[in-house]
Amino acid sequence: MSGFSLPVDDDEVTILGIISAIERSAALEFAEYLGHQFDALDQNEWFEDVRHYRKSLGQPFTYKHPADLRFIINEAVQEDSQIWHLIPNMNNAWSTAAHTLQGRLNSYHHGQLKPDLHSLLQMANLFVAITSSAGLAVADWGRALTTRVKDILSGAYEKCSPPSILAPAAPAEVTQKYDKTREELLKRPPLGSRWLGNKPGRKITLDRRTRDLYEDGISVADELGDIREGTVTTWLRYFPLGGEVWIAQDGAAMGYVKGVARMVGWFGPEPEGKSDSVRGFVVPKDFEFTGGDVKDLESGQFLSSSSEEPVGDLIEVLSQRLCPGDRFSITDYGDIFKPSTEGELKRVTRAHKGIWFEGQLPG
Amino acid sequence: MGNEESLFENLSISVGKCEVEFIQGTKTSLGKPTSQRQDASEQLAQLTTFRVTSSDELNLMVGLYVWEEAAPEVRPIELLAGLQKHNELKGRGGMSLIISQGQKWLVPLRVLKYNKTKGYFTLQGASEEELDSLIGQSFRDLMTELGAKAFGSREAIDQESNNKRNQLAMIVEPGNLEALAVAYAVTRAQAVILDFGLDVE
Repeated sequence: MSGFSLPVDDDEVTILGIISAIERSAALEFAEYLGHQFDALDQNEWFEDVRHYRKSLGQPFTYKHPADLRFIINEAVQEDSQIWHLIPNMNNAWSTAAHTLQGRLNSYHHGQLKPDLHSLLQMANLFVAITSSAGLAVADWGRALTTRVKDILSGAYEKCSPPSILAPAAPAEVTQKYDKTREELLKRPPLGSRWLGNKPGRKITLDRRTRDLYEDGISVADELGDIREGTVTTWLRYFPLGGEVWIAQDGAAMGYVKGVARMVGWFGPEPEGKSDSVRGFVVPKDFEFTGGDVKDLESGQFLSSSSEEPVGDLIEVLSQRLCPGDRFSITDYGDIFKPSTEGELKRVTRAHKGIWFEGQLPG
Repeated sequence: MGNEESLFENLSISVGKCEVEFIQGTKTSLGKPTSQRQDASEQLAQLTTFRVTSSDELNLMVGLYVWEEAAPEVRPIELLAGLQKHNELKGRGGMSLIISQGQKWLVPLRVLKYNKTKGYFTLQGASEEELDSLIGQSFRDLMTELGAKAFGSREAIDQESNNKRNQLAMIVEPGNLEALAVAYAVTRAQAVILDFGLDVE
């Protein structure tokens, strides 16, 4: 295969377009590959056959045509599927990569896969992992992407303009979802993230020794009522030395952390704190609820031995809403959710950086 | 001043989150050197000033005092603006220089580091790696670029044999304001801005 588009920098629009294009190419090539395999078996109506088989088992089947990567992955990872047997070298590594890719594509279609080079690199590796064994040309594209992204990240790539092949645009519904996610981020970023917008006018001071908040020397912490202690704890989590904090009209609080203006909390209840919608970009990792702990499937680490603060309350909530063995994801807002290919994502619960794996959430 | 020519080419230098702006001209100042006792009499110094500003609203005037009868020093003159934590720079963090061999100046490279026990920043020894981590590049290379003549332990660069022999230091030509100002900005202002020591203790 030649003429596939590659990024020349970290332009988000290009990254989104490339992900869309490589997904489409992989789906088309897989469908063609499987078509040839089934032709050889005189099964020209193979897609309809799979539909009838799944329906006969009472399983959902919403796919319209075989060139749909969700369909191919869903079938390929099931051992009762013929597709499982038609893809060479099918093994656990393939299934794991396919599951992970499915999750990332799901985040992408919900506008919640962070559109950066690290995400693109991970996606490229996953595409290579699932398309190589069938000898699909798209695997070469994946390898070229991997090399290019690594070069850009290391500074080894020198941008030449304009790029020889322009990346196709991502589908409109995807870009609209990304616009919505970005709007949310621009409105108020996740705690610990860089502050966006102007510096607010109201200045108060957080004294870490007295755990009190002062405005012109007078304590204003009582304005917070019952959430006073929780608010101070949250602020100190992101702003450990305390000091000046500026409060916006909606209550968002900004403080300078290591020389950078950051969102450190809310003065008052957090807006939309009770909504179950999933906000922000998905952290590119997968987690499993074991029943009594959370496992990072990439590192194998357990949350109970990796977090700064006790996680008992979080585990308790998860045990009420998830089953042992369930996989889930988390966004940079700390929204935990179970990936789903159907409908809007629903938040299971929320975590913060103190009760999460170190370095995975902002702040 | 050894670096007068390059000073005029570089009216300000960015380092880390700090901007160091050099104020042209030298004036005479009457005062007491930090190194001398409280009851010592005042004396004259040639004062050259620079300003350190930062992304978190610091605006600090700092001076290089070349005393008539005492060792030179770099110390804050006035905190014009900043956050509460920048007050740490007002009372602490002066940089006493030592007249070394050949009349060159030896600059001990200690760093304002957060002391969890005391709850404030104190001047402490630092490794070269720690200095590099403050600016995300080689501090030694930066200082060499700015005219440092030697960089290393006091034993290695000044044949020091007492209990300070392992202390990191550099040697500069007398009056090399660029090197002194940037070293001050990194080891004092940048260290406080980054809450240096808070994460590692």
